[in-house]
Amino acid sequence: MNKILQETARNLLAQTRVDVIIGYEEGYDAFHARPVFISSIADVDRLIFNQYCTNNLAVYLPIHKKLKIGIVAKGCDVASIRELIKEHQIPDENVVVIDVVCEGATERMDAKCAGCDGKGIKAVVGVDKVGDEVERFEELSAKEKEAFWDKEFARCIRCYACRQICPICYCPDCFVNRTMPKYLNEAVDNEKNKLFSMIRMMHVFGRCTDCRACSNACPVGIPLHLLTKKIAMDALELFGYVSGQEQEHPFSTFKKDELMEKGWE
Amino acid sequence: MNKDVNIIGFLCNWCSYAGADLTGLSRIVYPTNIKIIRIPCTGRMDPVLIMEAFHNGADGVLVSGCHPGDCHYTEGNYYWRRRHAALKRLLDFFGIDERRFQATWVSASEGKRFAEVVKKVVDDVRDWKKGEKGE
Repeated sequence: MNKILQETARNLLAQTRVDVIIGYEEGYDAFHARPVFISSIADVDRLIFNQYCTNNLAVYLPIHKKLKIGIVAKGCDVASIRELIKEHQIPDENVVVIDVVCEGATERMDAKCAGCDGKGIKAVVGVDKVGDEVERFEELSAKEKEAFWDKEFARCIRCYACRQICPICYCPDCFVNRTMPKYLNEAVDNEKNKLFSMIRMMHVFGRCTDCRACSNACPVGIPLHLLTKKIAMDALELFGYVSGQEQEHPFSTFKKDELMEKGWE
Repeated sequence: MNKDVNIIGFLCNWCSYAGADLTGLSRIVYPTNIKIIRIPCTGRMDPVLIMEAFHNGADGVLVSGCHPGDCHYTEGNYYWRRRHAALKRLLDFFGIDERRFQATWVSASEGKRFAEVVKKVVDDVRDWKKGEKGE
């Protein structure tokens, strides 16, 4: 597999179809992989792909939108790339996707890969483990839910790793960095930790492809995949929308006679 | 007046704010627990404002705009209706009781209705608070 991957990359660079290849190389030991940018043919042999290649490389696309990029992508990353192209963050013709067959990540990535059929298309509602978890969680009382998130977000150090790792969170001027009005500051505040994640979930609503990179990146292990799954399920249930598809985003369109029953008089 | 609960009301400039004005002009009495903030259109409602309100100690939030089809900007309230549906579910997921976040339509001529809406919201939030203290 690595041989074929390297050969493909070499050809792409030799034909100058791409300026740079974004892929994975071996990390500090054989059990870790890290992203690598390869722009000369001499370095192509560093490219690898195995079950430790968990990063979603699509996160680098909006930063380098002027380059022609060859990107090594698993099935779940392809959804993110499609979403970015749809949002005009990178021109379609500038991306060459080097599709790799993912056989599931390591066991510690259990939450990331639950429900994946190997093609990276996660069934949105209910059928996978995380969906079941979300449905079970929704049956709890408001107080229990609040207690759960209070406990989880008490650990949050607001490092914003979830935002940085997210391919969809590309805003150069994120609301947390604004000073007028200053929604968030540096103080330790559990409620603000929650507020940050709530707002982030609203911002990525319908755009999040549920790649679970945020959950994976969280240094204190907050189960953010519950939230991303929840908004994916909501987008489908309320608006019949699945992110990464050729459909108008639910918040930028409307129907005149929808949602009439829910609390509207 | 009993000021046991605090409600923040975001009212759209063109219908609900004028409706609330009419309530006052008509001398209709309604609970003073609501603090009204005028917004240009419900389509402008940023979820962060609602969450900030809860964070800063509001017991309830009411958002009110023009009836569908009557929006001053033609379609602002339709967008809000969609965002509201998603936001309500998300708040629920975070354990914010659904009685605490309400949205409705009040037109400029519905002064009486505005008083009723505020009464209902205040009652609902009181209800919630009682349950909170009781448990």
